[in-house]
Order: sequence, then C-alpha cells, then structure tokens
Amino acid sequence: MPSASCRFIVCLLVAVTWAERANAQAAAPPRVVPIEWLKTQPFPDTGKVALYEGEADTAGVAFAIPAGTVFSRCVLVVAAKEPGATFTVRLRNDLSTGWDRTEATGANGLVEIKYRTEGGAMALVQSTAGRQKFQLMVLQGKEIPVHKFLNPPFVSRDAARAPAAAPATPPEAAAKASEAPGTPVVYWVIAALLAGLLALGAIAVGRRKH
Amino acid sequence: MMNRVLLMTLLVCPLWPTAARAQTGIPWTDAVDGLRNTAGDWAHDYGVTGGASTVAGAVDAHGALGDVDRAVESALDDPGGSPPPVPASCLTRDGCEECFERPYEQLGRSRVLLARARAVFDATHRFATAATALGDNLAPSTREAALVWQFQKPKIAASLTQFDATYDRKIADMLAVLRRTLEEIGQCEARFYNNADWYARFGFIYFEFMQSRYRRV
Repeated sequence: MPSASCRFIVCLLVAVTWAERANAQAAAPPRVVPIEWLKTQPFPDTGKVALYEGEADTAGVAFAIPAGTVFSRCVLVVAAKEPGATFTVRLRNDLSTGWDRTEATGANGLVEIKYRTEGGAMALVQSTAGRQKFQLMVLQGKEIPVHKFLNPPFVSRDAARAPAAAPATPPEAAAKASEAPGTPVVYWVIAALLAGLLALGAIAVGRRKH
Repeated sequence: MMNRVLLMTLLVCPLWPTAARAQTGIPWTDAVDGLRNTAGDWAHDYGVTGGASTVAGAVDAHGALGDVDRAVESALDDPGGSPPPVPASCLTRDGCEECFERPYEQLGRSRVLLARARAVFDATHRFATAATALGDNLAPSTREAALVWQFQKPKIAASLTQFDATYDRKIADMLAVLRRTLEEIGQCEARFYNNADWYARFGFIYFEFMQSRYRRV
C-alpha cells in the first residue's frame, strides 16, 4: 500500500511538472526578429550610405537594405561596439531562397561583406552570446555604366564569310582528298581504255572489209 | 585591415550616435553634414567608387550576391545559346565613326536591361515556387494555417500573373528599342561602309535571336 501511494505521488508530480512545462511553453512568446528598414542618404560622387547602431541577441536583428542594381558595388560593415563581442552576419538577396553569405566578426570585431546585387537585400546580425551592441554601415556605390564597356555582339564581315566556306573544305579533309586515289583519274583511265578498245574494233572491222 | 579598423574608429564612431538618432526619427542632416567629407574616403577604401573601363574591372572584388546577380552577368556573355555570327563593319566602341556611338551605347543598354529583366523574372518565379511549396507543406499543420493558406495561395498566383503581364509589356518595349537601335546601326553601315540593307540582311538575325531568348514562351 505505501508503495502504491508513493507511485501515485510520483505520477502526480510528473503530471504537474509536465503540465507546468507545457504551460510555460505555451505562454512563452515566439522569438520575433525585429526588422529595421535602413534609410540611405545620398552623397555626392560616392553613392549612398546608411548607418545604424543598436543591440542584437542570439535571435538577431534583421535589416532591409534598399534596392540597388547588380552593377553598383556595395559593402556591409558590422563592427562590435565592445571588445570581445562577436557577431554572425548573414546577407541575402530578397529573391534568394537561402542566405547567400554568412560571415563572423574577426579578432578585430569587424565584418566586411563586399557585394553587388539586383534589387533589395536583407542582412541579419546575430550575437553569438547574449545581448551585445554593434554598429552597422551599408555603403552603396553609384551604378557603373557597364553598357558603355560592352562591345557590340557582332563579328567581322570576313569572319562571317569564313565559317561558311570552312566546313566545305576543311584542311584535314582537303589533305585526305589529295592523298586518296582521285576518282577523276580512274574515270580518265576507263575512258582511255574504252577509246582504245573502240579504236582497235574499228581497225579490225576495217581490215575485214578490205 | 588595420587601416580600415583605424579608419572606422576615427571617422565612423564619433558620428554614429547622430546617425543612430537619425534612424530613430531625428533628421539625418547632422550625420550627413558630418559625413560629407569622409564618405568619399570610405567609398574609396572599400572600392565602392573609382573608375572602371571594363566589365571585369567594374565588378572585381565585389562578388555577385545571389543567383539572380550571377544570371545577369552570364546573360551578358551568353544570353542562352551563343548569338548567331552577325557581320558588321565596326566591332569596337572606340575607333568607329561617330554615327555608331549612340546606337552602340543604346545596344549595350538594351542588352543589360534585357538581361536584368530576365534574371529577375526567373528568380521571382523560383522564389514563388519555393514559397508556395513551403506554404503547401506547412498549411496542413493546423486548421487555422490551412484556412489562411487557402485564401493566400490564390493571391500569390494572381500576383504572379500580374507580374508576368508586366514582364511581357516591358520586354516588348525593350525589344522595340532594340529593333530601332539595330536599324540605326544599319543606317550607319550603309552611310559609311557601303553596306546597304544591313538590318534586312543581318541585323534582323540578331533581333530574332534576342526576341526568342527574352520573350516568354
């Protein structure tokens, strides 16, 4: 009987513990990652820059980076504000299905990610331990006029003519043709033999008549 | 690297509090005025500015971030199958008659715009497909999610249809510009190289190729 009551108490304790844990899990708010919409400010002859200072925990802070073009050079710099603080920085294009780059702060507490991307991008700064302060800078260069460097996608008039003639008599085939027994020669031999036979026949017919 | 750290420390740190305040609603003016003289140095230090005379020089060190960016770059070299060999009298941007300058620049611009449009189109569809698949997998987990997803999924499909229509319209405009540009090149060919009817004989081959590459099937 005492063993039965002990068993009951243990079961009750387990049930209560489970219920408490379930309640705690249900009550705990989901870890929502805050999103900061970066505002860039233009600079003459440079491009645009956005600066931010804040804190991040292990869940991180996400940053929506304004749209650029694939031909404007950008850099994202994250600097730990306190010595020893470390961060992981992830970066992706808005249309990528996963993170395109993941970097961690080095011994100097700094991360630099140089990139170019079409459209908007998103960065996620996560502290590796607890809540830590950091500074972030995004620098977007002006769009490089790549269209001015592109040569026209055409070929020279001679080159356009050459490929058409080349397959008809490629050098190797021409060499083989010259080495192979020439068919025209054979025809000439046959023709000469036939002509000879005709001449002999004509002579023979002539002699019989005489 | 050490120089950059020093640069960051000396230039950026004193200004960051102002910038951070600006981020939270206080005007940017102070931060901008303070940074105006130093932003150029940062940009130079990180290679964000500076001259470039080739495509490779322009993009060196700042790698393409995502698939969409790599797709733009590869489309410039090879827009899906090698272009047909279209003969022309002048093959470089430099050293051609002045007549070619504007149409050749416009031709480059058209190629870049078409490549960017197609890359974004493909990436958007890839992203939508992946997102829809994720939604389909997650929706049955709870009744509420299933109900919400039932209403959201048609909206995504409708947005994509609208996006496709926009793409078609933009591509038609871009191709019209491309055609006019090729006709202009034809006029220059006739004027300077006695190459009459260049568009009718050769230019249209390139136009047809680009049209088949970028028009949606």
